[in-house]
Amino acid sequence: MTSWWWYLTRATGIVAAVLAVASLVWGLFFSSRNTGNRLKPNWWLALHNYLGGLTLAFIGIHVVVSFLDTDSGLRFVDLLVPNSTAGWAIGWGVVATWMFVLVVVPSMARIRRRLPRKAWHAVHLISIPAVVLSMVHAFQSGSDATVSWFTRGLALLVGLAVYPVTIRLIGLSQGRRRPAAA
Amino acid sequence: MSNQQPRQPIDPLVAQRLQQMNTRTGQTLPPPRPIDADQAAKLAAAAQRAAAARAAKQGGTAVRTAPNPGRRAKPARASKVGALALSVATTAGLTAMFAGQDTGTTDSVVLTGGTLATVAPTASTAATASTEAATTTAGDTLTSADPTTTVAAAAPAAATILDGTYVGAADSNRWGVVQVQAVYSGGQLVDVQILQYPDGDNKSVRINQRSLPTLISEAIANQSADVNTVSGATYTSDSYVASLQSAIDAAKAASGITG
Repeated sequence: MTSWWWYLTRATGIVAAVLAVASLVWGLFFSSRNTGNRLKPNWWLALHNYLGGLTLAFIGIHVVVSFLDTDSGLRFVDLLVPNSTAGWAIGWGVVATWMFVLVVVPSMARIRRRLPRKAWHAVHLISIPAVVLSMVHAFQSGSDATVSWFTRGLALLVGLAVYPVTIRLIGLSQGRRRPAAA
Repeated sequence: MSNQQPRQPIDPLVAQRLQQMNTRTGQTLPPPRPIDADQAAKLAAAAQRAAAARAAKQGGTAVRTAPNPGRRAKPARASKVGALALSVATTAGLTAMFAGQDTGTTDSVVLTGGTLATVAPTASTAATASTEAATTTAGDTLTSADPTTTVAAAAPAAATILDGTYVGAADSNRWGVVQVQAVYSGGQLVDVQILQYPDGDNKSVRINQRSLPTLISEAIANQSADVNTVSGATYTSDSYVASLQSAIDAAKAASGITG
């Protein structure tokens, strides 16, 4: 049975990584107004919010299942404190998890209403390093890190994330220049 | 003009703007096109939402307003369901795939006779033969923590380790148990055989298959358990050293060598 926990840990980790990148891409396309005309902006926003929540749910399952897997040797403190005893390969994952919590929880409607927009936005930008750290965690501690389909898949995910990040950064730089010229 | 219908009320904000423009320009602009009941309802709802937003912005108590009729109550519902279903299906599929991979590769990762790498630089044919015999009998089933010794009949000169296979203590770490046996021939350490190593999952198997041959060849080259830790296999390296050292100590003890 312990092996099944291990398989489930790996599977949920991979799915969580894909969902994190999907949520990031959705959010970046939405914020850079590159959503096209076919679908309404509220469709993009609703799906972005949902994917963010789903990412956190799968990360939660990933963490719980890895703890239940007795072969992994992970203690409870290893899942909460980075680099406690399990090393940084696991530690990056712990840091990324806390970052995702920071991103998703304040974005819940009830909490977001009480936050100043600038503060919420600053916290929300943590999602980018969170995705980067989750990729580092996958490469360093993933059992499948040496398997070609896994490395190619992660490279594809990184590529998918880099494109909208670039568009967003270009949009931000243009937006900053425009008011100064006006 | 006598059959003109009575005008319906227009949005008060628009009427106010119109009056201001008339006052500024000094001429009377025609009144805007009358709106129907549906448009009037939309305008009223929009005005209510705007008022609520203004109140919330100014720190007042926000009033819950009716949703925009043109806006779906639950947007992207189908996509959300699809995303959830796809995620669950992918998780199940990957889990099944990993299970299948492990079943399919089990035979290839089991060590034949407990040996990962056979490096015998100085062993004679007879010594190799006896080594293989000892290995076959040892197998993967030795789990005793107490070092046991199998000594061959041939006894070389004093102060050298007797030919034979010496089983080291099983050393546990957080990933599993490592146990080795040292094979001596002609007073030399000619082989180190792995009796147990952490092989509960593919990750451990891969790490140990990479690290153990390095540790074995280094031990044979150094003729001792003084080997460098293999990067990424710290636990295995430490346990390997502990088990090999106990095997060497057992060999020395059996040969009457002290110190």
